[in-house]
Amino acid sequence: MCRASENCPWLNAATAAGALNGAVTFTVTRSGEDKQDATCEFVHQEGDLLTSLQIEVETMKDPRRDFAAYWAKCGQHATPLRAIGNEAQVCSLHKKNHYSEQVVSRVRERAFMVKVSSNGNTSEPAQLRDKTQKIAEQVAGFLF
Amino acid sequence: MKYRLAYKTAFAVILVGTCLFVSPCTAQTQSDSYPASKDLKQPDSYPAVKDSNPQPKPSDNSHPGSYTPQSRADLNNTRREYADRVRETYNFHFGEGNISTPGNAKVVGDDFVQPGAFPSAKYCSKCHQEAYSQWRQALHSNSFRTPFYRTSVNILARTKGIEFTRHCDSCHNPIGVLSGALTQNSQVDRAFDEEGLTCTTCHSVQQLQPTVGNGGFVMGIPAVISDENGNRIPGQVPYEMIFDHPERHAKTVMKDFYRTPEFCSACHKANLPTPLNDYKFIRAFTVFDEWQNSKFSKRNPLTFYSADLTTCQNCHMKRSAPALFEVGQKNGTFASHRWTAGNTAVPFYYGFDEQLQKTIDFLQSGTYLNVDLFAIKKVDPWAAENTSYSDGLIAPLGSVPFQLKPNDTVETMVVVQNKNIGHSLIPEVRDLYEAWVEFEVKDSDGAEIYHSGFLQADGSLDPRAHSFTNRPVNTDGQFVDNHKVWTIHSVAYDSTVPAGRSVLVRYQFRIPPNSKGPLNVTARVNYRHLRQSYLNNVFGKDHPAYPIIEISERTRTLNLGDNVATPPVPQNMATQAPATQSPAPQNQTVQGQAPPSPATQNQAAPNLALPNLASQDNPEWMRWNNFGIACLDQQQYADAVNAFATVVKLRPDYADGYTNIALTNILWEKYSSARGSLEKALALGPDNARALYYMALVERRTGNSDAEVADLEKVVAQYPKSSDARRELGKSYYRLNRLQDAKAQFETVQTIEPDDVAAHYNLSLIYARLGMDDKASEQATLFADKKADPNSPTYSLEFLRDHPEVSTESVPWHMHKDLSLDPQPFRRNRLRAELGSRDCEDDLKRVAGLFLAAASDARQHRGISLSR
Repeated sequence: MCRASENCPWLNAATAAGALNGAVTFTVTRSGEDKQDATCEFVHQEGDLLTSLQIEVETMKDPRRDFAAYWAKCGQHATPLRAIGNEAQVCSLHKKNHYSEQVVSRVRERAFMVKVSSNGNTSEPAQLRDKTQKIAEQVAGFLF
Repeated sequence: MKYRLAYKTAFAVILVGTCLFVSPCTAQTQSDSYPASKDLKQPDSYPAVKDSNPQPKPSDNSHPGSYTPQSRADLNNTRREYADRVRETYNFHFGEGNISTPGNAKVVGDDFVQPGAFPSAKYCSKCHQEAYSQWRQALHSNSFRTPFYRTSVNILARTKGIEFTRHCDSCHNPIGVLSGALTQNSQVDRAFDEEGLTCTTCHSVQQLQPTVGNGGFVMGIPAVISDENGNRIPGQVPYEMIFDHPERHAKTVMKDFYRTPEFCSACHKANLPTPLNDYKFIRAFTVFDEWQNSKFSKRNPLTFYSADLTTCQNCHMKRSAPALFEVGQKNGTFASHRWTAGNTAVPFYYGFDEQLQKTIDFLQSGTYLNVDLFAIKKVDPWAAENTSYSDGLIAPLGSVPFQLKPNDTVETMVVVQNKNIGHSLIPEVRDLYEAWVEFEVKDSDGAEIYHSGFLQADGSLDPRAHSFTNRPVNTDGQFVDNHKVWTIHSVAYDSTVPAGRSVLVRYQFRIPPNSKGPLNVTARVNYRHLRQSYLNNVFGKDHPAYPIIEISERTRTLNLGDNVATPPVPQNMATQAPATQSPAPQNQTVQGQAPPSPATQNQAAPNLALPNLASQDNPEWMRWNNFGIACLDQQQYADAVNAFATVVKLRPDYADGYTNIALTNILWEKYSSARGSLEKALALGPDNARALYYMALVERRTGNSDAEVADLEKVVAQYPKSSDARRELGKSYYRLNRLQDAKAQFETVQTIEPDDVAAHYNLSLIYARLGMDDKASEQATLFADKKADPNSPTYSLEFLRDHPEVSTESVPWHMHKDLSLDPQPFRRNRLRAELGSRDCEDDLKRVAGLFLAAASDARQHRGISLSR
């Protein structure tokens, strides 16, 4: 058994694997001035089916001003979400043979994004969205 | 859950100079307790692992019969393997094998249990749709995930370590505790977090521990059905098994003790144990014991009023016709799984509008509180209070004529009665929840003459409001904000209305010289969940205004000139006719909310004004009785006796009126006077347990030991679960050297209230005298841990010096008044000039506080005792 040098601060691999329905590999990339922020990426591969979960957390210096840039990452077709962080919205980012659902949210001055992607056309967008929202709630819970 | 994590590779790359730390790792996880999607098949590799999870997928359950439960032996093996794996890395900070300390949660087998062993709520919802629907919006299902909880528990995890959160999560997230997820670098799938207290946490409890709280239950391995021999079959079985044997299902998931208040006590009682705070045992909240001491338990002979037996479930799980399919209904009704109580913040945050409305309805129903504008008194603000307070009392309002004129200084006495709550107001975590009295006087134009208990511009409460809150402090004398309970060392201020009792809140205002009558005087009790500063801590300041609920209100009209007596509305008329002249109809305005904030969610607090119910006063004798109770609790014994004397004049048949006089005299140490009143009470009812109890104390004082014991034995016979009666009887036996009898009484007290300090102390003595040294030592240790720390008030004094407004409130007998009534404006203005302060009242009090403290220190140095 190997040990990762660092776990994702916002979500453990077991929970990610539960969400992606299988074994995951993951990376953790620290960022920010004091390395308190991080991006975690979990990947599950099963044959040609690739599903991934990306969590990105960043600390904003001026949330009133800075959060707009995060908010914009969802574009115009975002759906407001209640009860995830201070405020949140979810949007679909579909490309050819690649489905993504993304939640953009913040807890106080910390912005975060959760994106669940799949290249399998068997995934139903509603389920992908549900999965994304549940992970986003987990992340928000940790950030509170 | 069958859970397996096998890292395949791991490497770390540090990119020097870029501050990036990348640590990829591969984890293979088998986590089928909460598959995110029932349609996604498990990877082929999953079933190959030997600790395959015995639980069927929800998709499996949609096809009853497709699943064959494993044998119990297999399940045991699965659990054992799981537990062994968790144990390898579990932080046993509190002792090897101790999985839940500082909490008390226990599980059958005393070992970790897979989270997947707990069937999901969705599984149960197939047949219990009403229960599921209600539960999803209720506090129990959101016990862990809400930001209001996470904000606090996250601080504990980050500052002391996640292992300490087992204290809170023994109740807030028992699956997290019992699965061993609360340890550093845990690799347990936390999908269960979103269900908090799911169906099969409560419905798997097999046994209760003594009522110590903090998760005082023993969880069984969850099962929804048993075999023909009554053996529990763990896990999610196919629905057909349940359909074939519904009686076995019912017997497996329901226990008689689930309907008892003791069941609720497992979590609705909490303390802060030494392993949590590295200090000592501190009581946190004891709502169960408050209920035991209330009239609703029928266990306490000492209550001021009586009522039918009413349990926690009777109030918080009221039965009603289900709106959805629910096989658990009986005779067309189903016990509510909303547990409506006082939490408006959680449904507001989640948008559970139905839960929010039902919570508001609950708070405003049932005449839980009674607000009585009981009396006024015209006072000379310059005169010292050196006469009996009852002199010049115009009471009860509505029953006596009086006159008022401009320039009169009026003191108003508001009596807040906890009439029908089975516990105190507020029963739990008074550092977070906030109830307070709002008092307003307006002239005929609606112009404000006096206002206390308003909200400030930032949404926080008027610091001089009479609030039912507390102020726990740490070793720096600072308020323990953010519910960091593990840092509490003292409580500088703690205000409540105990069950069945009343408090008196006094306000003084001056009628302006050019005022036009009539004046409208309103007193109301408001409640909000949560305190503004805590909401700010959770969300930052840019959050929407959270609901504020008017729980009870009373308005009266005071004429300038003559005010004629207006008979009170008889209670039995209350629902038939509205109040006439007095009291005035209840205010219909929306309670003041925090000013519009830059809310980022389109949320708005609903209209939370009281419904237009006819305001009612209690019967006149009860109004006096409540005033007497309030005076008694504020140590105004002469006024209490006067009030209770009026009660017996109005109700000479009311034995408790005489007993109340006696109780006051006992506290006043006038035992012979007490005896006379008790004899009158016992003449009305020789077996009156309350009178007998107090008579026993009088007999003890006069050395009549036999009579003392006889009276207490009669009380215990009537109220075998009265810890007060048994404690006193134990003392009586001890003084008579009847050690075995005394021992039996104190041991019984411990079954009623395991944390009773007097029982620990007396048992330590009794065991020692009986030669039971080990038990004596154990009780002595418990006593030492649980008794109050005599040094802790020091921390409170520090806080009170810095917060004169709280210092004033912490004095039982205090006045709320308009600052313009300050009798020494010259000194005040001079001090203002000297200090350059905008709020010289605070400075004046602070200076006075420092002076008093210095004087106190000087007296102590000279060896002068500071008795009251």
